[in-house]
This record gives sequence, structure tokens and C-alpha cells, in this order.
Amino acid sequence: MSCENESIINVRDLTAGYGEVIILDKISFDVYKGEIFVILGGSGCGKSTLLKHLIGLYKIQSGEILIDGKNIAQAQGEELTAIFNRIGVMYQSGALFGSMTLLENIMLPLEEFTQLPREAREMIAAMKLKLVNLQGFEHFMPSEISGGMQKRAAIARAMALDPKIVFLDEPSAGLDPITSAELDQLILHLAQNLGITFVVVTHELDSIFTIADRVIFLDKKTKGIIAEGDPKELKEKSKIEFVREFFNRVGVNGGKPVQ
Amino acid sequence: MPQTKSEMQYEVLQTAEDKLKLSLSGRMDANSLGQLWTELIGLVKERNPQQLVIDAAGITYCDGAGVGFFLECMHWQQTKQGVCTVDNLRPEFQKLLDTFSSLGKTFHLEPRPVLDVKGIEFLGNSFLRITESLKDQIAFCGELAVHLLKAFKNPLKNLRWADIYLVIQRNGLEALPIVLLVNFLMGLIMAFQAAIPMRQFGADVYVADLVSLSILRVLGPLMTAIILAGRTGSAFAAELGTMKVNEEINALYTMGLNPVRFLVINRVLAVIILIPVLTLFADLAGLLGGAVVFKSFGYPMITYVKQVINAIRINDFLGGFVKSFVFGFLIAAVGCLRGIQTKTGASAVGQSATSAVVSGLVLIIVTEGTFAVIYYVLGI
Repeated sequence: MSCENESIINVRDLTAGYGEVIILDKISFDVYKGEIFVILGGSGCGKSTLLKHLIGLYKIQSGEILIDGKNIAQAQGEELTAIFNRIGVMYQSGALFGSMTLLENIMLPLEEFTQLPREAREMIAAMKLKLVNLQGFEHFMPSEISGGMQKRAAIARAMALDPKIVFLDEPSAGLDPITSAELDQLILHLAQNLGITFVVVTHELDSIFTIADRVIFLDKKTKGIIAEGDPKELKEKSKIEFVREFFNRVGVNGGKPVQ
Repeated sequence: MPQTKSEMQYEVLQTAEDKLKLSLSGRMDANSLGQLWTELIGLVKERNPQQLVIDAAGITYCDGAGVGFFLECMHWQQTKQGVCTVDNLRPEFQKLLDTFSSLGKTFHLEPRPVLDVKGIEFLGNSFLRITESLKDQIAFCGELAVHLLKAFKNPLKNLRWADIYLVIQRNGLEALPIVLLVNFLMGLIMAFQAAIPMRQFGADVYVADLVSLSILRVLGPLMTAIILAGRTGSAFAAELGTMKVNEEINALYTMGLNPVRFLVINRVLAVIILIPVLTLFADLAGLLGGAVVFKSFGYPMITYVKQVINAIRINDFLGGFVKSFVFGFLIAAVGCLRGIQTKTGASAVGQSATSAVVSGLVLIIVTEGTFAVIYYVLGI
């Protein structure tokens, strides 16, 4: 699945936060081509902050983020657009445009960034919808389909321009276990068959063990990465108790009721 | 001869009457295909071969758009009972092609179904929609009345005064400059336009009567209401509409809090309190506008003041004043109603705001007309 050593995202000494508040302090990691990389951590540790910095929504305070060799923090104008065209993002809520049908949602980037004729755009958009198993819903509005379907449509939209990297913000949030498992299978299928690199923020343990090739574990106190590697190995062998507890779903007082 | 365009090249070989060979090389992505798609598909359709062979040995990169092109060629050949083969595609791209072709033979869509509504059906639907909306409005008015009465039973406990003050500040105090400006100019323009023809008859001193009567009876309250419909009605609709979209209104319901009592009553009350005050200022600004023109025509101010005092009775002023309460109630209520009726999505909020202003304006004009008749009958 993953081609080791060939990195596609490099983060070096990234410091990020909001104003005076620093949330991530000098963190560094690499994401390799074709792998499913999961960002983990307790609530408020900066998972979403990291994701939003990776996709260039927020300005970094120091350090650098290279997306496929290009520094997203310093890119502007057309260069930035070129980077955006190589990545796809699925937001937590789906963020489909409510005034457009699913097909139109996916056709929009194709319409703006390519010169493909209409029938070709329509066909490619329909292909992407079929890939996420939404055939027959092309002309539905986002409000007319379920939450799980909206997420799948959002993945299809993220893949409209065949990006090399797709970022997923909590793909299984608010979904039932079956839909969530289906989404995991879809992500695995896409990674294996289309060679897309996925960067995923999620809390779902089942998801993590199913899809993740590698995880990083962010920590609120140290504002850095406290663990990195294969989740199955971390579950058993991590030196840090909190990480083992997280993977083994141990709560306060060892998960037993407080007397 | 190889055709060169962007990063993708193609070569056509007509090996036999019914056999076409297409050699493709370079990058096959949405960008390079954007320029060549129509040309290549057109070529295949024009030559109409029984057997189409696509030699993809030279393809260095192929993504979803490239696969789309292959599938389009295959689909076309299939509809013509022809054959299409893609040869020498690199294994990684072949895997991509297999992934998509396993999903189905064609990705062509049925055209979007258009609702075919016949004339009479359309009429019926519209009638139903209008009656439905009327029903909603009546129910809303009833709910509003009930909650207003309840609120007045124990105003200190049942009303959220902090919210009311905030609404008064945002929609009253902050609207004062625009209300003053518009009404001042209204008085000024009206006096100026009237003075020119009246002067020819030596009646320009009566400009003061004209301005004062029309400002106090009609224009002061009306202009204030129109400004408030645009400023406050739309703001209420957008605010409550966003709350509806974010499910905040649903949250109120399920907490057992009535949204009308919680969100609408304070807004309606605040507007009823602030609009007469704004109207008072509007009247003064209008009279001042008239006075400026009057003065510029060489009359002393005392003449203007005496003319105005002679022309108007207390009923003229009170008539306008009473109207403004009704205007305020209607603007706030219709703004809140449209907000609460908002459907889902960002565009729905925009529609609610638009609809709040339009309904507000219509209600203002209808009320204005109704009051004119009532005042005429009552001799006010």
C-alpha cells in the first residue's frame, strides 16, 4: 500500500496557533505517498488546527509545510491555486453547496479549472459519484440525501480533479457504525486502487485500526507529537501510558465506575 | 504526422477501411484532455471505424479524466456495434481503468427530470401555497398575541429586557442618522419642487402647509417604516433564519422553550417601542428640510413656524403617530415570521431576508391605504 521513503507531505518545525496562543509547538513529521495517515489525540490537542494549517486555511507562525514539494505557507495566487488543485478536502459537515445538485457540486472544479467540454465534465463527475456508490443520486440536492451519503458525495467532490492527497476531517463523525464501516472500506478502496494519499483526522478506534497505515498522536500538554507509528503496535507497545489507554479505550479509574 | 498540443500528443493511423488506430502519448489529465477531448471524440465519430485500437504505450500519466476518455470511446464503439481496445497501457493506469470500468459500462446520465406542471395544476398549486402561507400567518399572529398578553401580565419576569434594550439600540439608535437624513431630504425636495409652481401663483408661503401636513400625516411615518423594513425586517429574518439553519430554533423547541416567546416577542416589542420615537425625529427632520427651502426663498423663520402651527392640528400628528405603531408591529412580526419559516441551506436565509423586506413593504403600503380610508371616514 505505502511506498516507504517517498514522502509527499513534509512538515518541519511547525508552530501554529491563534494570536498569542500556541497550540502546536515545533512539530515535524512526514506523510508517505499512498499511505493512509491518521492524526490522533484527545480533545483540544490541535488535530483540527493542524489539518487547517496543512490545507492552507490558516497562516503558520513558523516552520514549513511542503505539499508535494511546494511550500503551501508561502505560496500565493496561481501557485497556491495549483497546490489546491492537487489536494482534495472533505470537511466534517460535508460542506456541499446547498444550491447545487450533487453532480453540479462535483462538476464545479472541473468547470473552473479545465477546458473539458460539458459532456466530458458530466461524465467524469458521474464516474466519481459511482465510485463512492452514489449512482442514481446525481440530480439530488444535498439536503435531500442522508448524512452518510453527503459525506460520500463530499469525498467524490474532493476527488473531482484527481488529487494526489485527500484530507478528511472526521469522516465518521455522526455516522452509524455500519455507514462508518462502509466509509472506511471506501477510503481503503480508493487508497489501494487510485493510489491516493489520505490524511485523516478521526477519533473512531475501529476506523483507525481498519484504515490507518500510520498515526501521529498529538498531546495538549507538550503541544507536540508524543507517539508515531502503526496503531496496532502502539496499542500494545507504546511507552506512553496515555497512548495505550487511548487505544485500549481505558477511561478514568481504569474504565471502572468510580466508587 | 504527430499532432502536438499541450502535454499530450496523438497520431492517427487508418490501417484499413474500418480500422482506426489512435496512438496516444504524454500526460492524459483533465488539463491536457481539456483541449483535445472534443477533437479526438469528434475524430472517432467522424471516421466511425468498426475496430478502434488505442495504443497507449506512450502515456506517461493518466488520471480519472484519461480513464473517462477511454470509457467514452468504448461506450461510443459499443453503441455502434464496434470494438474498442486499449493496448499497452502501463499496469498502474490499467488498474485505474479496471477500477472504473468495473463500476459500469457507461456513465452517461439520464437528463434531469423536469417537473411538467400544466397550467391548471400550476394555478391550483399556487392557490394552495398562498392559502397555506396565509394560514401560517394567521396562526403566527394568534401565537404572537397570546404570548404578548402573557408577557404583559408580568412584564418584569416574562420579558427579557436586556434583549429588548439591545434590539432598541441596534435598530433604533443606530438607525437614527439614516432616518434623519432621508426625512430631511424628503422635506427639502418636496418643498423645493412644490415652491416653483406655487410661486407662479404667489402661493409659495403655503409650501409650509403642504410640507408640514404631508410629512406629519403620511411621509414621516411611511419613510421611517420603509427604512426599518429594509434595515430591521431583513436583519430579523436573517438572524432567525440562520438560527433555524443551525438548528438553534429546534434546540429551543426541544428544551421546551417556545421560540415565539423567546425570540419574537422581545423583537416585536422593541420595534413597537422604538418606531414612534424614530417617527417623531423623522417629522422634525422633514419640517427642518422644508424650513431650509422656505428660508432660502427669503421668508423669515417666524413665518414658517406660524404657517406650520396654523396648518396642522394635533390629530394630524397623532394620526401619523398611531400608524407608526402598526407599521412597527407588522415589520417586526413579518421579519421574525420569515426567519422562522426558513428552510435549509444558505440560500434559504437570503430568500427569507428578501421575502421579509418585500412582505414588509407590501404590508406598509396596504396599511397606509387602510388608514387613509379610516381617517377619512372618521374625519381625522
